[in-house]
Amino acid sequence: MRRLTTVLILAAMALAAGSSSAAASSRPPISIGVAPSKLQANLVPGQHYTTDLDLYNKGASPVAVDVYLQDYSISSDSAVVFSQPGTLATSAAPWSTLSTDVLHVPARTRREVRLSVDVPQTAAIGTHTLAVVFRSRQTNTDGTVEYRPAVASLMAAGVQNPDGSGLVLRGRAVTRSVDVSWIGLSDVWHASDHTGALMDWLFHPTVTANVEVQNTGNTFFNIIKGGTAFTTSFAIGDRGQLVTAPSYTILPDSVRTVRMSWTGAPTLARGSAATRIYYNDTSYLPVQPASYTVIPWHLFTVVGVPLVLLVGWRVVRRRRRHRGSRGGGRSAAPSPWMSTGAGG
Amino acid sequence: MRLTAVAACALLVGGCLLLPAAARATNLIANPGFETAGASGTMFSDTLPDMAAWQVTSGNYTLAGGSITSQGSGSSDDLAVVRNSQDYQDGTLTLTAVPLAVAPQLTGGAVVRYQDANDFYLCGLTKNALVVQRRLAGNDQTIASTSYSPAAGSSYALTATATGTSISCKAVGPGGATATATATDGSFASGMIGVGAINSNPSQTRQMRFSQPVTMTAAGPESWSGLTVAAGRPGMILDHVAPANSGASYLQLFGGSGTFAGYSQQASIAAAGGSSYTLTAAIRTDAVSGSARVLAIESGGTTTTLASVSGTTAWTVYSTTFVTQPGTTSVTVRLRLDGSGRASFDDLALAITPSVSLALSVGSVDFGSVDPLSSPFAQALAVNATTTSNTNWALSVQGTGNFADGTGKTFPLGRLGWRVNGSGASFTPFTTTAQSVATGAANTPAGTGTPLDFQLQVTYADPSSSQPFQTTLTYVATTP
Repeated sequence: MRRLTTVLILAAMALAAGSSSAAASSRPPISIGVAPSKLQANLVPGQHYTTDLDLYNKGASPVAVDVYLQDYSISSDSAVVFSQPGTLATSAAPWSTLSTDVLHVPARTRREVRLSVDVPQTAAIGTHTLAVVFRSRQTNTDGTVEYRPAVASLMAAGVQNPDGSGLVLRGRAVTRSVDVSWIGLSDVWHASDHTGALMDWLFHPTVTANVEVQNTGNTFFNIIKGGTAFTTSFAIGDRGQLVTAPSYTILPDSVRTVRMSWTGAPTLARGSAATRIYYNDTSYLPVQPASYTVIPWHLFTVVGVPLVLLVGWRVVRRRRRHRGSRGGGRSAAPSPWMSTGAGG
Repeated sequence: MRLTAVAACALLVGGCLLLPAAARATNLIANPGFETAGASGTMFSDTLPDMAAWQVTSGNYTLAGGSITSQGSGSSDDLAVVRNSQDYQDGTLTLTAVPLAVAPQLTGGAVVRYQDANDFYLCGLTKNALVVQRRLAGNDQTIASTSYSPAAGSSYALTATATGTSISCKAVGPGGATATATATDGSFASGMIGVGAINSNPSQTRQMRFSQPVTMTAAGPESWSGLTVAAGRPGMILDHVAPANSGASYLQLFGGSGTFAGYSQQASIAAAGGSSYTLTAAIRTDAVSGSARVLAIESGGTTTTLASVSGTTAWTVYSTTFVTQPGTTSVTVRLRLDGSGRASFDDLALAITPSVSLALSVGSVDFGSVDPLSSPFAQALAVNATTTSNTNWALSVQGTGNFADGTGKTFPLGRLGWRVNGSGASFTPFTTTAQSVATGAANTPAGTGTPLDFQLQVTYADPSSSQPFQTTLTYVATTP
């Protein structure tokens, strides 16, 4: 018991340093931005490529920002995972340099960083990537958890033969599922517009097409337009909607799940979701349409359960009434709505 | 476009379908490579106030009152061409010709596809005929002819039309007297436009006068304006002659004098205020005395100049980024030449520059006094991360390492968990690997706030220290 007390006191001392209550720091917020946040180029072995990146300090205080290269990959749910430069086989970081590794940016101004890429003669044909990360150096030593905002510019460079050959754009897209979801009662409870949220809960589901876009070539491509056309063969509510696809960059050997959601879909419907993913102005990846059905089970529950209870109650009441009229003195208590016929 | 565009390559869909295509960002400029021809328009016009646009390549001309008159010396050629117009291929040249003498030894009219003084086509009037004449290696040959009776001192509207291998000549004289002669010949595919008067009589001076306007009409690029003259008499060509930067066509502006200026543009391209755009163009120049420029002119008048190229340069891709004014609703992209020489433009692109910014509401959070007995400790709204982007964005978070007190004592980063405020979800432990926190669509200028709740769990197994334990979280906003 003595040991436990000691641990508790020490832990409290340790984590209470500088403050006696859990609180967010009151330091001014940091706001930084980068443009372009995406760099795409086609290069040839031996080529020298330079470009400028702008780092914006949108905040009211000066910031110091570390600038450094990283490798990156993108998960299917669009999380950008960074790793040490040069660790990926397709890293362009070993060929690349930055004009500075730290920026001091006054409030509401921008600073420029030059990225230089020298593609070696021996560079493999295909897409090479690197990220230029700008991470705030500002620290706050009085908190338990310190935050450092960062922004990154993601580069994808297609290295091709000098005659322009070598890069293969190849991909496919598949609708993995079409999900129908309704907001939860907790969302209704926490909503500022309870009535609207309740109506959504009852009548307006969200239909989401989950489309897997896979790059099987050796060069990246962008989803520049397209989306999912939700149509219905039967519907109570809206008849259909076109939902635009997000403008993602799909790296080689990667899969991205692209979600197109139709909010405010019909309460009861049967239909299909047809997706087109355009990788340039006129060409798209064909996707087999997928069907979906919207059945408002919870609405049936909300309406059906009271209905069943009401019917049940009426049946029970009728039976009791019949029993009362047949059996006389077995009633435990007289109903105020009917006469027992035993008064007098 | 090598530095900015993704390669034109083939897409194999499902292993069975090849589609030639180039994957690239959305280009706000229509017909950016000038590959599609549009309607015909005036590409050059001269009212002959002077001969600044002209180059006399043989004999001589005198200027007076909006007309030029050939010298007409015995057995001589008087040839004048529009300076720097050598890339014209198909088009129609119109002018007014007045033969001051009519003789079989005098042929004069409109010159098309002029290579040099020994090689060109002439759409001319001569005694009793309207002819299409070819001069090849210095030898004149009539390749089409029709009867016509031009009279000395009368005005004739001459129209020379070159279309592929067809060279057609039309004359409309006093009273509407009309004649047409058409030849098929493939000797010259392109060349300058001009006027010519050939007098083969060595003993007599025979002149021809050409009156304004001298006008060249030809197909312009679709979606682009015709030539707008800012000064002097510049010209424009939808050019297919010299190799383009990409594809087969490009736009060329030319000028015959250092005081000339002209442009073509694509106006009212919808744009958003306060947004970052990237303007890209390939430019080639030939002896440009002033400048070849690409301008982005916002609806409020603010102008961004992409490049100002002079002299002689090979195809070079230029690119610049600019942020539109808050009130901007559209952008005009203008291709302009100031001065003499030839300026060629290809592969224009105007695209939204992808950008992302991240603002954290606070710099840190302090859990204050914690102990294993009262654990876990929740911190609602520990931070609000606002991501702003003009394209699809992603916000991720990763820890730099375990909690540490600076004296060597640590406890796991995973003791700290996060969830989006109001989600009701369970807390996800932080790791040193990036975790996706939120994704979203373009949301400028307001941005999207992602409020996060934290929960810290300490156990009896964790070390204690007189120094504060700390760790650092990095929030990263990207546009994947």
